[in-house]
Amino acid sequence: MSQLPLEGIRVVDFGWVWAGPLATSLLADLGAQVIKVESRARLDNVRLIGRPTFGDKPILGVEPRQAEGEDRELTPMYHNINRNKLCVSLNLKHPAAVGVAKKLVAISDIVLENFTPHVLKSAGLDYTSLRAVKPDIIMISMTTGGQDGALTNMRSYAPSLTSLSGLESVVGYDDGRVMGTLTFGLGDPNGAVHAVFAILAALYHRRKTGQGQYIDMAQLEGVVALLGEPLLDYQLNGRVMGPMGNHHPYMAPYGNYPCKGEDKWVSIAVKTGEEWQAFCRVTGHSEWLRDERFSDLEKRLTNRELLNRLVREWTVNYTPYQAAAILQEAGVAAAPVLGIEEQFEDPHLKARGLYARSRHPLFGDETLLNIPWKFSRTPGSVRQPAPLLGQHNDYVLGEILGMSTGEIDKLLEEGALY
Amino acid sequence: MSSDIRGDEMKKSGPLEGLKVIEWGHYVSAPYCAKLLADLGAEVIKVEQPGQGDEARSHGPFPHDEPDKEKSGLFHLLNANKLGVTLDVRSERGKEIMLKLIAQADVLVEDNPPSLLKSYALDYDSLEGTNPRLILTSITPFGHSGPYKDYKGYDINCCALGGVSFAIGDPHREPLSLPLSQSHYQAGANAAAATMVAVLARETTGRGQHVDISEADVLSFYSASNSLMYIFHGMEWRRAGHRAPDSGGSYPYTVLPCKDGYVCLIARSGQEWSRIVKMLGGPEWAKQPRYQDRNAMGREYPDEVDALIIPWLKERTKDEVFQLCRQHGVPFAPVRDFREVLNDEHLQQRNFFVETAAPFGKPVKFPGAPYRFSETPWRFSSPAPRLGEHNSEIFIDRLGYTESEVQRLKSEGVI
Repeated sequence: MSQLPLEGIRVVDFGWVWAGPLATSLLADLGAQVIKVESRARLDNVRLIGRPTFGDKPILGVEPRQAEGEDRELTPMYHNINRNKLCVSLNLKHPAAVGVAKKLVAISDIVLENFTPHVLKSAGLDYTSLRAVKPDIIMISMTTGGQDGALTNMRSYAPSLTSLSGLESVVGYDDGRVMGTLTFGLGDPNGAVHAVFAILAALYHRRKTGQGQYIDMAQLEGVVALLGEPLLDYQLNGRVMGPMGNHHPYMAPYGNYPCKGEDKWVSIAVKTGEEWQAFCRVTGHSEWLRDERFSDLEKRLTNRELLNRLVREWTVNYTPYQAAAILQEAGVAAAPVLGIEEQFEDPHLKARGLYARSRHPLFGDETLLNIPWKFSRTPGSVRQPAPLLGQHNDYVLGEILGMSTGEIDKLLEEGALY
Repeated sequence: MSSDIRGDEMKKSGPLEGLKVIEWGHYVSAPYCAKLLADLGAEVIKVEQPGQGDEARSHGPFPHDEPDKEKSGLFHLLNANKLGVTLDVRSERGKEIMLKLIAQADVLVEDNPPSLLKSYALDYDSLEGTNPRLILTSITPFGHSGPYKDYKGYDINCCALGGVSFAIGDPHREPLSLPLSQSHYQAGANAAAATMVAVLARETTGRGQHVDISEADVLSFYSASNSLMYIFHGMEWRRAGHRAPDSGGSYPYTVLPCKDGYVCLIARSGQEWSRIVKMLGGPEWAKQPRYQDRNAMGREYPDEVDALIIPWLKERTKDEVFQLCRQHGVPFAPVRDFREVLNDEHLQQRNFFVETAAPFGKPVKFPGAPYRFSETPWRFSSPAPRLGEHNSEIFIDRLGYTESEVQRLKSEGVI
């Protein structure tokens, strides 16, 4: 019998844009009650990135910040990373709203925020203030650069973050021109997943000792932490790594090879001697096994331009799925290069249950992404669509906090709920 | 140089103190997951094949490029704060010993092919009966279910299936994969977070479970999260070289050359664009309507606008551009290389790097942890273990084998 593993945990979520809300959406998928605090006075910017859409048609001609009312509820990314959450429209610029936020924290386990460092402090909602209302609260602040240091107030987009980390300097072909990862943003989801790990570690500690604490997380450091190899190579051998294309120091053939059809590719990686033998046999080229130029890994690496050309001559005869199937059958690592729409169609990704259907009150039926962690006993799930702004004001303030209708109306009138 | 550190002297402290983990990992995936747990105080016993050990030991970087299985940079990065034993799990005696280790642990983290686990009867179904509280965290390229579950996959294959490569590189050339094992690191991080979910769930259910993490699933989750937006907006989701496809809807979203390298230029609003124009000195061309329609610039003629901006950039270094951007409130960033990252003023102020002489005999900076806990701070307590360093302590002191049994197992190649 499955149950949600984080049921009973309550999170006050001041997160906005991507990294923060993605972290709390993972907690929400696993059963935590996540209360998102967002008001018209400070909208979650992800609503304003790109264009609002209705059905499958973007509403063109609308500058994002001009979208109003229901148009602000229609951004797919907002839907994807805010599902399963409750939303209260507390306007933190209003002292009464701050008071309500503190009441929420007093009955919660975790607080998450990813503003620049001064924001919550000015509102009187920093860790010191919140620990006063709940001594064992676990609070995490996610920022680009952390709570101190030269970059504390830096505004950045995902690629700016990975540019500062060094990662982008090695994304490109071997002609040296940096391409960048750009549309694929690594910094935010990397930060979100490490944040969830840190939060749950703190929760583990608190359950044993009763002690809460504050976690200062810098997304920039989250990426640099993964780049130790080139940092060490520079210190040990004086080499500054640059873009290398799809070359690998320990595998050949290795790369994305062109297939039948327009812009179709298959990824192939050959590491061991056995894999190389299997590759030669299954592609009908046993003569490569007797070719001195390819007799060991070092030779294959030295002669990789020639080798890659020969591999391409084979792959162009097949579609990516055909090539991958033939090679995998022989025990060689190969997989088609999929575009986003193709991912929705891939039989394996579908079988893995990556996609969830959800019904949004304004948008209608939509596809969201399931949490990619598979648990045999306590799986997560998409149960509710993303909330409308302030949708749960009555529920959270009335039912959870026990405030009266009169008190709630007063907050609305004075703009503390907005 | 060696540093004989006993497990019980390791001064393990941190939020995960008391959690016991066995790691049967190779290269990056499971070792990174276990590193995250070890760094926060969990006890991690790393099981390596006798003889060569974890393949990361042969990968470097090595000081002076001289291969030495005790001086591999990658191995040291991933395996500090762990105990290390050697064990040939394939052998009958080895498997027996592995089961004894598992019996004393909360978590087994591994990254073996599903069919191999099953053939050793170390899959979850086999372990659950005698270890109902065990959490088995498995990391694989494609997962423990689905049509590709027995497919072989290295990181380039996971990036391919996960939709990542399709979005990176020149549209007229082959798609680019993520460099430097990023696919494995992400799988490891997701596995660590998911392991903690299972650890917490066990407090309620009293039972362990199987945690199944697939690299391709993780990357697909990351990339589609972003790209859903582009699909719904009717914009093509396909690599566009040094800029986002259609410049992400409005100019700029690009990487351009400057005097001594590259900078990443992004503006998402009219306000940010006008700050860029101001920073460029308010050039005449920017006053024409053609260069005020950011959507058209982004979708139809971004090369043209790049060509107008590049000359200004080519006269300035990364640092100069960065300073100007910060002054004007423009979220640009220099594309740093790794020498610059190591010397970065901000990371130094944060004391992010940890300097240690233990692995290489001379002080070298390692990246630290990306999170700071106020009450239970991260600590570097010991360097990565030498191959089999803790065999005596684990097999004799903990599991109760005698000195002569251990000698015999060693001569048989079991440990």
